[in-house]
Parts: sequence; C-alpha cells; structure tokens
Amino acid sequence: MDTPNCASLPWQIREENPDTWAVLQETSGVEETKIFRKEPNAIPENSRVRNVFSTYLGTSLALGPANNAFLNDFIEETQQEVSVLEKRLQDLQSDISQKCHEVGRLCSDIGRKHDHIRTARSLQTPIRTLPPEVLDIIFEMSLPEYDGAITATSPPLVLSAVCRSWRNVAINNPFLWQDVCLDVSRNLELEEVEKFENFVDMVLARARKTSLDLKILDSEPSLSLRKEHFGRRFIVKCAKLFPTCRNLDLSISSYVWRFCSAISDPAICLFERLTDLNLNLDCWDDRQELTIFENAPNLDTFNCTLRASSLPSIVLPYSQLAFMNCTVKFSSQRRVLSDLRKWREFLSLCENLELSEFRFEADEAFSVELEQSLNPVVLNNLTSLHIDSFELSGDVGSVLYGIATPSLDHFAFMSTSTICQLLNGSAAERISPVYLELTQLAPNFASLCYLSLRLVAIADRDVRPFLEMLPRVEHLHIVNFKIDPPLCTGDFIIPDDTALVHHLTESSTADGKRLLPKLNYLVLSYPYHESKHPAATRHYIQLLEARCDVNALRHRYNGSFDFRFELEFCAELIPRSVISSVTTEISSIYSRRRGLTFTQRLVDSGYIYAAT
Amino acid sequence: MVILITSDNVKYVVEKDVAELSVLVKNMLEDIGPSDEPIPLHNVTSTVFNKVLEYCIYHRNDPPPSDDDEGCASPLHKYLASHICSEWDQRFFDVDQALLFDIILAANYLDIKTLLDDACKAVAHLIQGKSTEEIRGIFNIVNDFTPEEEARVKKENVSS
Repeated sequence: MDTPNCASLPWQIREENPDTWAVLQETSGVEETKIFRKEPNAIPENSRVRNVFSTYLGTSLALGPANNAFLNDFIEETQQEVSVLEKRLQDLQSDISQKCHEVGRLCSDIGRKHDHIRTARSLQTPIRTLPPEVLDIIFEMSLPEYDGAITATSPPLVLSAVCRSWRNVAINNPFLWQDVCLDVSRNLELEEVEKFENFVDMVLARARKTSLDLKILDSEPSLSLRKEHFGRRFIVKCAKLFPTCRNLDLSISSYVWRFCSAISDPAICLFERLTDLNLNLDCWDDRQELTIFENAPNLDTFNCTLRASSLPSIVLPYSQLAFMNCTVKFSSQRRVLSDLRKWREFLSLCENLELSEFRFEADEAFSVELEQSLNPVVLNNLTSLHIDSFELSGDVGSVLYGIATPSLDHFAFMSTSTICQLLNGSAAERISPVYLELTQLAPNFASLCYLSLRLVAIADRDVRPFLEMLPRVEHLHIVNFKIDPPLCTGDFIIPDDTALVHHLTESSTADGKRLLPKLNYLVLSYPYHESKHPAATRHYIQLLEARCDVNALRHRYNGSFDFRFELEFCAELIPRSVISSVTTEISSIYSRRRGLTFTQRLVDSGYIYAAT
Repeated sequence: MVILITSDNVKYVVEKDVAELSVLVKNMLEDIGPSDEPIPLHNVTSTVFNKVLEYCIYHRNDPPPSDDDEGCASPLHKYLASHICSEWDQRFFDVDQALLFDIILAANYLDIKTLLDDACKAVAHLIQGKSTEEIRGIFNIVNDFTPEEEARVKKENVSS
C-alpha cells in the first residue's frame, strides 16, 4: 500500500502495522498521532470481485484466464478511483494550504497593526516632550551617588542602549563616562581582553577631554595570577586611560601589582592630570621600586594602605603632597623600630603636607621603645594631624616626638590597643603599656584650635598643666579614663572627666587664670558609675554656666557667644531613662542662658569605653 | 504681589518672593519695573502651574542652591550628593508621568532650578537600577535600533 503524499500538509498518513493506519498531525508545533484501525477483511463491494476473492484467497488455486482478465480490469478501475481520490485530496491540501497562508497573513497584519499602535503610543509618551538638555540632567542624576563607576550594568551603558535618541544624548554627555571601575580578574580571557580594548577606546572617546576617575580592582587574585599574560595586557591597556585620570584608585590587594612592571616605562605611563592617588600596596614587593607615579605634576593627595617596610620603595613627588591618608601596617616585632624609622623618613620627605591622617595597625601586640636619637621631621604647613588608630604598645613618642608642626591647628589621637597614659614628667609612674609624654608635645599643642583625644588617661594632678598647654583650643573632645585605680562597671572601664570639669569650671570664675579661654565646643563622655552619677550632671551644669559667662564676656562686643556642649552616652551601658533624665536636667539651663547648644549622642561601647 | 496669567488664561495673584523663585519672572519684573501689568506665562497651563506654585510656596524660605562649578565633576552630581529630597518632596512628585514631565518643562521654562533638579531627580529615581528593557517599559519607549545598531550596542559591554 502506497502512503499518500502529504508532505505539504501539516499531517501525514502511514500504515502503522497490518491492522492500523496512523495519522500524524502537527498543531502549533505540537505533534499528535491518531491511530485508525483498518476494517477487518475489507472486501470490495462488487459481487464478482467478492466472489473471486472468496474463491482464491487463502488457497493455492491458480486464476483462470477469465478471472485474470477480470481482475486486470478491476485493478485498472480501482487505480482510476485512487487517482480521483488523490486528486480530491490534493485539492483539499491546496485549500488548506491556502487557508494556512491566509491565517499567517492575518496574523502578520494584526502584529503589524499592534506595532503601529505601539509606535504611535510611544510617540505620545510624555518623556518625549523633554528636550535633550533636560534628559542630560536626568541621566546625570541617575548615576549612583556613591561608587557610580561604569560597569556593564551601570547607567551610562544602560541609558545608551534604550533607543536612538537616548543614545545620542548619553554618548554626548562626557560626565556620564568619567567614572570607570575595572576588574582585572574578570577580563582574563582573550575575547574579554579584546572587548576591553574597545571599551577603553569607547570611554576615552565619550569622556572627551573630561578627566577620569579610574578604579582598578582585582576581585579574584588567584585567577589573575593563573592568567598573568592577560593580566599584563589588561594593565597595559588601562595605561591608555592614565593621562586623562584625575583620580586613580588601584585597590589591588594582590600580587597583580607585579603586572605593573609592564607599565613602568615613563613614555607609556603619563599622569599629567592626576591629583588623587589611592593605592593598596599590601602585597607590594619591597625589593622593587614603585616609580611610575614619580612624574605626576599635579598630584597632591595620596591615600594608601601598605606595610611600613614598603615605604622606602614607593617613589612619589613627595614635596607636592598636601593631603595624605595612610594605613601603615607592622608585621614583625623585630622590625618595628626600623619600620617606624622608615615612616618618619617618608614623612620628612613630604615636607609640604597640610592635612594628614594615619592609622598604625599591627598584626600582633607589638611593642615599641623610644629611640635615643629620632630623626627630626619638620612639617611647616601641616595644619591637621589625625592618628585615628594606634595598635602598637609602648612609647607613642617614637611616632610623635621630634616632629615640628608650627602651624598645627587640628590634632586627634586614638589609642586602639588599650588606654594611652599621658604622662607629665619622666618621673611619673607608667601604669598602662601605652604611654606618651605630654611635655614633649607641648610645642606642637601651642597652636592647636581642635584637639580630640580618645582612650587616654591623664592623672588628676596633670589635668591642669595639660590644659595650660592649650591656650588656643576652641574645640576639645576628650574621653579620659582614670586608671589608678580604674572606674569599672562589668567588663568596662568608665571614662572619668571629674578633674577636667572641675578645672574648667573653677578657672572660669577666677579672673586671670582662665583655662582654655577660647573654648566654645566641648565633647565629653558621661561617666555612668555609682561614684559619679548623678552628681556629674550637676557639675556639667555648673561648667556650662561658667563657660557661658566666659564666652559672654569675651564676645561682649561682637554679640556672638555660642557655646556647644556634646555629651556621649554609651547606649549599651546606660539605661534610656537615665539618659533622658540627664539630658532634661542639663537642658534646663536653656531657660537661663542664651547662646548655649547642648546635644546628646548615643555611641557604642567600642567607641568610648576601654575593656577591663 | 505679582499677577501671573497662564496659557489657559487663568489669573494668579502671587507674593513677590514666591514669584521671584522663577528667574524668568524675576527678570521680567526687573525689566518692566514697578507695574500692575500681569505677566503672561505662555508655556504653562493652570493645572501645571498649580503644582509649581505649591512647590514654590513650600520652598520659599529655602537657601538658594550653591553654584559650585569648580573642578571637573558635574555640578549636578555635586548637587545630588548634598541634596536629599524630603518626604514632602517625595509626595509632591508622586504624580503620573505626564504631569511630572509637564512640571519639568514648566520648571525649565520658568527657570526654577531647584524644582527642575528635584523633578529630574524624581525621574532619575525611576531609572536607577533598571535594565534597558525595564526602562523602555516604564516610559513606553520603542526600541528603534536597527539589528546592526543593536549588535553594536551589545558589544560595548565589558566585564567590569
């Protein structure tokens, strides 16, 4: 039996087995098979044929000439009938095919009409009314406020892919393309490096002459090391952006720094516009000099995290630097002294520093002793020196003595390993493992307007001499502890400023002996201890009354006598009801005094309290 | 008091300090000198002007925005870093897109910098963190790139 030719139809008929027909039908891409059982012993309707079939089928009898001739006629006749049926089937196929085309055409027409409606509606969309200059404003505002660097999903690339008109606005606004962040370890396949090369060219073209803020990081250092060749190629390509960089942040805390030897050629690497440099040199190899930033004629800000031993290998235009923020790490007790010497040498090269912040971090509890001969450091322009974290123990003088800062206006110090004892005279008893001689600092304190000392201990008898060293101080923030014996509550040593408050109050009422005559901003920490609370509140009120008198007298002629008092409360230790009653009591002074501002601040124990 | 007439002929009598938040109105007042002549606002309808007026009255005592154009960073970006929209502003800009864009156009025409910046920021908020497709959906924008252009756009991305 021949299978009818149904290739052009969405169905096919075939003989499944001797008893069944199978019809395969495809509807919307889904194939369905229907099985039809054959009529058993299908016998033609013609009686003579039926007779011949019944006589000869199932036997071995040979057909006679008459029957043979008769069957020839029958086959011919049946074939003609099949031809007619096939013709009808073909017509039907053609009809269906035509209908299918018609359905397709209708669907296409409907789709096109929908598109027309969508396009028409999009022309009416309100955002189209905005002129390009307003779109510019919106695009700039859509940049993230912090860390707005260009990444694959960041606004500049997204905006430029919305439609033609947005793309036109986006790629013509150089401000959108000035902040770039690139990850070494994500561009280490050949295809990515090639793509990255196009990306660099695109950024340069779109940023035009705008200076760039470029950040290069390495999120997977192990990967970068395995594919060093591409890493080098990546860094070399980045160097193309360097001449237009204003801020360069190489936050690469890995050995990828090795790749930078690839850009050590000054002809390739120019930093003409660079003003701010941020380096993470944790893994810098001390034996290699980092010289590529030596010729950066506008560099004045240097932020860095590095091991103290690396300092001599970092070559910078030192005398240009005005602003510095450094985290200096110490990794060996044996080398602490020599490392501190390197730090002082580095500092002495930066002779024009104006503002500086340092953190001294130690891998373990390293101790430092004062050297007999410290190399002098002169920083004539330094106005602000903050040591926000000091993790070494021993004599802090190794860091601070012998540094002449005649213009110093701001000074802040926070000991983080333990309380730093401020001694007045070498004969004083050293109780804390961290200490500092006050008299050595006196020359630098003479010009101070702002002083912040946290986690320090000044003995009661030394408070007055200490305050006398600060004739110009206007803003004093001090978290002072008593350590002999300490005031303790549970696991904490409680700050105690009783002597300080007493001296500042008494001297204010006695003419001619005023301490801190210019003080107008005082920050203290509330001593919540049974021996101090609640009397401390009364002492604060007396202090504020006295200081308001001093300020009123001092500013009689210019009418300005504001005094600000800020009190820190440890939220973990002091009940809210106590904080509320203390602040209410102190605030009562408002009804009697003008020009006084009092604020309370909740802090956690780590901020102000030392552990016992 | 200053008399202002919107494009649909609605007359507003507005206090001078409020009206002068618009640099356009301020300049016109300086040009014509003391006069009771109404000032026509050709490009602003009363519906939109009601909103503009509401904003100006609420912000009449705000300090003027600083024009710190030093350095190379975009001044708008600097403005953003220091300016946080208040809850009132957020409610004020919680309107349908058509009105929001009309407010922007009015602020641009009347030259009210803070209103323009705040309204643009409201639109920027709709964009921030969204994909290209999402942005098209939000603003009913049709992707009109040819397939070749689209392929070029897609090639620009880099793994950063």
